[in-house]
Amino acid sequence: MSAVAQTTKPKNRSLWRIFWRMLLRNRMALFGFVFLVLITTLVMIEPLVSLPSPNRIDLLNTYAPPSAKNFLGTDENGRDVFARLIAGGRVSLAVGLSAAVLTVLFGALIGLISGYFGGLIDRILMRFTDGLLSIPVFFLLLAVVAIWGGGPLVLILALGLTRWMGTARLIRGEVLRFKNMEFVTAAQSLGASDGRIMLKHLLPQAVPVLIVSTSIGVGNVMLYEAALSFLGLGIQPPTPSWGNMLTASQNYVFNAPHLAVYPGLMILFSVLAFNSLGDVLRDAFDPRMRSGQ
Amino acid sequence: MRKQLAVLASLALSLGGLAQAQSAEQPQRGGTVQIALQTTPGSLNPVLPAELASNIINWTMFSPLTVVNPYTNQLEPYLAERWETNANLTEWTFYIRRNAFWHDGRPVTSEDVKFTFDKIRDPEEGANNLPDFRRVREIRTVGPYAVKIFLTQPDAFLDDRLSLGGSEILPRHIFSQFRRLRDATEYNSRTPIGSGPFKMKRAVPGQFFELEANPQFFLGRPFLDGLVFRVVPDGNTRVTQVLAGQLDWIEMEPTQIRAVQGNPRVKTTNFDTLRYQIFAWNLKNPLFQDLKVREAMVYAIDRRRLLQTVTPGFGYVDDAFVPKAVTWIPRPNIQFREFNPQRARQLLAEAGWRTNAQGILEKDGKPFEFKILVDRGNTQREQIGLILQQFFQDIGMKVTYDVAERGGRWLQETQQGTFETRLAEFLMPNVDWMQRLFSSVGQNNSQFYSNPRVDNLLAQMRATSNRTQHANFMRQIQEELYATFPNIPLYYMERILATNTRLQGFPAANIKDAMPFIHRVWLRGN
Amino acid sequence: MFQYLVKQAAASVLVLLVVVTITFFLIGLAPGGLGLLADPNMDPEVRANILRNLGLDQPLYVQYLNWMGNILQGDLGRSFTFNRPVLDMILERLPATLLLGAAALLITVGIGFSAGVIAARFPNSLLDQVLSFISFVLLATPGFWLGILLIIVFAVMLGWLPAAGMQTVGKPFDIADRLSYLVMPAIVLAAGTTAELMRYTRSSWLEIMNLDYIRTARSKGLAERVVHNKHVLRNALIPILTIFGLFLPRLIGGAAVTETLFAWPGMGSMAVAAAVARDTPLVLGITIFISTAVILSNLLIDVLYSIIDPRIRY
Repeated sequence: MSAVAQTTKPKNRSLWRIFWRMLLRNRMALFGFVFLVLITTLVMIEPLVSLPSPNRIDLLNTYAPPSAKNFLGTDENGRDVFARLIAGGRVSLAVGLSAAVLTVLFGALIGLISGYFGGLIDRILMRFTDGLLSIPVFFLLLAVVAIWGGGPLVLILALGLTRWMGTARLIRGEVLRFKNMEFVTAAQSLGASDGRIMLKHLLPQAVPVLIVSTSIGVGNVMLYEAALSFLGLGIQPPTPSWGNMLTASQNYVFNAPHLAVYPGLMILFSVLAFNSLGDVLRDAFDPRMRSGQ
Repeated sequence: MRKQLAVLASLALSLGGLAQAQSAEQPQRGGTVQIALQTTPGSLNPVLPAELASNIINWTMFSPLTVVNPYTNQLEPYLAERWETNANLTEWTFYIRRNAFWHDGRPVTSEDVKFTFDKIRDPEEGANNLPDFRRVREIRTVGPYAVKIFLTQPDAFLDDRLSLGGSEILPRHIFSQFRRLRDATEYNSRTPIGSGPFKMKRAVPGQFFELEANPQFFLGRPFLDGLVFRVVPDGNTRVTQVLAGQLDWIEMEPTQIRAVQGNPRVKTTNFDTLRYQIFAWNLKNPLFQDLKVREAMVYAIDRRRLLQTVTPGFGYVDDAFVPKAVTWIPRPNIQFREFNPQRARQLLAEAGWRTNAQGILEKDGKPFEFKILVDRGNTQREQIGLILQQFFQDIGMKVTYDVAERGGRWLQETQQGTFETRLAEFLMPNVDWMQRLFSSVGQNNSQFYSNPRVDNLLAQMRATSNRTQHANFMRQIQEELYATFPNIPLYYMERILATNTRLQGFPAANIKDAMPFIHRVWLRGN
Repeated sequence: MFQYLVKQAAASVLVLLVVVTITFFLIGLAPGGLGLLADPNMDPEVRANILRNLGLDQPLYVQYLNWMGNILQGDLGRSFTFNRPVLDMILERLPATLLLGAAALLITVGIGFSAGVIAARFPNSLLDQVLSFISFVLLATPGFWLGILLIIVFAVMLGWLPAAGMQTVGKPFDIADRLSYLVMPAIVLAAGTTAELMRYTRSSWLEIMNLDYIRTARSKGLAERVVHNKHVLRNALIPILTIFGLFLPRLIGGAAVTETLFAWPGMGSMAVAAAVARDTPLVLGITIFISTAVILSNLLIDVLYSIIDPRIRY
């Protein structure tokens, strides 16, 4: 099953070349990549360009059509839709990334410990993981977020701490694959501590899995935030997020249906982008895909 | 009222709807009407605490002694055909209709009334209207059709309070089997028996409730054969269901009106909700104790524009504290304070506030800074909060918009008086509420307003049961309130009914208030 | 093997108890209380009476011990807002949820699996590309957005399907009527899982095609169809069963949004309303009930595994 190349540490530099090559071949991922670069740039440079303030209300200018001043027009309070999309993007992407990173870190921790130590620890941790997988945590999430409020921090913690199970299982699998290989046993015989071996030798092997999990995780978190927003429990206005903009637009769907289109498309494109990039990354990291095609 | 509505309606609506609602066309019998509920009713027992959905459905099945007629906004007899009080307002006698029957055929008697009120007075029951009966010393039946209520103190508004919901009469013969009202689980959730115009046929909690006309109803058999209440949580879904003919009667947001305009199957009617949105100061806060500051803040808000943005075309601004639709109370002699930012700045300057280098108002080295507490989930108030923040910032105040969960911090800060300013919705369903909201010891005076002159007027009003005198006092109190800024009435709310064009005879009122008179509603073309 | 499965089920139950305990305290320690009590005009004495009647005047740990004691005896307690046994309320909503879930699963397996197989049979063809494009878009679409679009098109513009509810009230049971209400919510609920199963089936199918013994079978000249039907299908079913177990809690979570949007009277919309109203016994009761169902169905899936693939030993 495993290729010969796997007995030594894979070289990471060539990986990026492979990634680029695969990216250029996959139109959807390429589109996603460009979209994300664009959005990230806009979100970063927004303070530098003079956009209207996303929270500045102008009651004389509600539901305005697109113009030179307001690229995408204005919303029900006369706020600039484009500026709000950018500001909302900052929040949505930040929450998505943070929660996904938290998920992956937590999953990696459980997976590493479980895979490396094996035995009783492994059994306990994996039973715990599997047990959590059979609980519809979404309802509990609803209750907790309903009560503690939909601040970004609550959302990041709530989403991050309830969705790490899949990552933990993947990382554990990776650890099991590498744990008995030469470079690990060599380090052990040189007297390296367990922590050192896990962090310096095993964790790097799992980096591809971590990156792929994060990429796909961001998309999932963004969808969750939108769903929570629909139920009135996501990021709270006036802080814009794509989720709550989409939800707020439902109140005006008969007056100004276009207001629902922009944030919806932003979520759609972002999730699409993160998912397809995750796929390309997975393929790039997977030696079988590389040699096979 | 019709005239005022007409002016407003001319913006977006044809008046046809309103006129038809009161047309003299001969009503027809038959048909079933489908009405939306936003949530699953928590309790089909009207006396136990419940939310809007329960109130709506319960008001078709149960009868209070008195009721506010939604066509006229005046108090009328309902299960009691008449009532009287002694001169010092400590003994009230209610006479029960002799043709009132429970849905299972037994007659409604004074025993039921005594039983129900005694239950409400019992703190162990956890009934909602316990406070209304605090001054009740004893309830005694006088024969099968009269009840005497003895009070410890004079109370001029007992009849008003009995009409507000939560004091509907329960059947003693059923509840005597249970120790507590709440123990009757089946009755309270599926098989209620009342004496109202409709009776429960089939309850499928969470989905729908099917009701049928009560042929023995004391005000006459309803025109409709049946009612169906359907639980539809999402507002847009309710609108699409009206369009699709699956619902016949819903309340809508003004922003949804476009969806139904021009549709031949749907008629819209706007109505005064008798409620208004207010901006309330915490008057314990020294920052807001200066009358000039409060006056300045009134002038800082363009309420007409705010209204136009939040509820395009619906509602009205007013500085009175009683809704226009309550026509039996004369208009106070006041003038609406128009938007005037110059005057606001001038008043603030007179009060000693100066603009500092950052453009923020400052006095004795302290900036003019406060938070607006807003309850989450109400789109109108969330929008108002943002807009007010902008208006106050424009005159140099530093304002934070603070959204909190209604059942959580919002409630806590409101009750404990720890908020700085907040948005809320007030209602003025009857004269009793004037004292609840503005008496210095009023139970709902959560703004901590205290004015000896208002207290004095309220005390005089409480001492009489004469309607004309009530009306007169209400006018004077409003004038006093107008001069002292207890809060800022932002706008009076109107809402919209979207109904099947065949639905006739319904009042221009919210669905809940229309329910006691559901027997007058009918469907054309059966 | 059976011993292993039972142990995992027991472990899951333990995890469940830990999780609901944490949630109980997370809810209980938050400021504020029941949605029913959110009315600032409510009299303080009335409020106190209600709290006492619900046992909410006691210290949180006493409330917890009482509640957990009942749970361990199989009693899910009473709803705060409805003052009815939680189990009764769940059983009332169960048929609607089962119907919607079953329909969504049927769509997931029927369309997701076959589309995946088709895509795998003709890898990199135009058909494959179109299918994977659709699945990508579906995976990235917020469920309620899709739902609203469907309602606007099929209920409002075309008037073909009812916008919400489960049946026409007052009409005797009619299968066509029920189906017309079921179509849209089922599609919305199944959209994500269908797309995912399609992608999963495609890749595991392709993976199995590359396995040595399948290659051997093909090189021996076995007809392509026989190879696919006999060998690949059997192997592909295993990962699909796994993902099936993972879909169950996800479908139930998704039902919260779908049921609320379409006014579908199931457990999902009830859980949302309960969460917003802070009806702790109801939210936790629903969670415990569903989790138990999922744990049991996972047990069943594991047994099925060993039947399909006798090589699996625990």
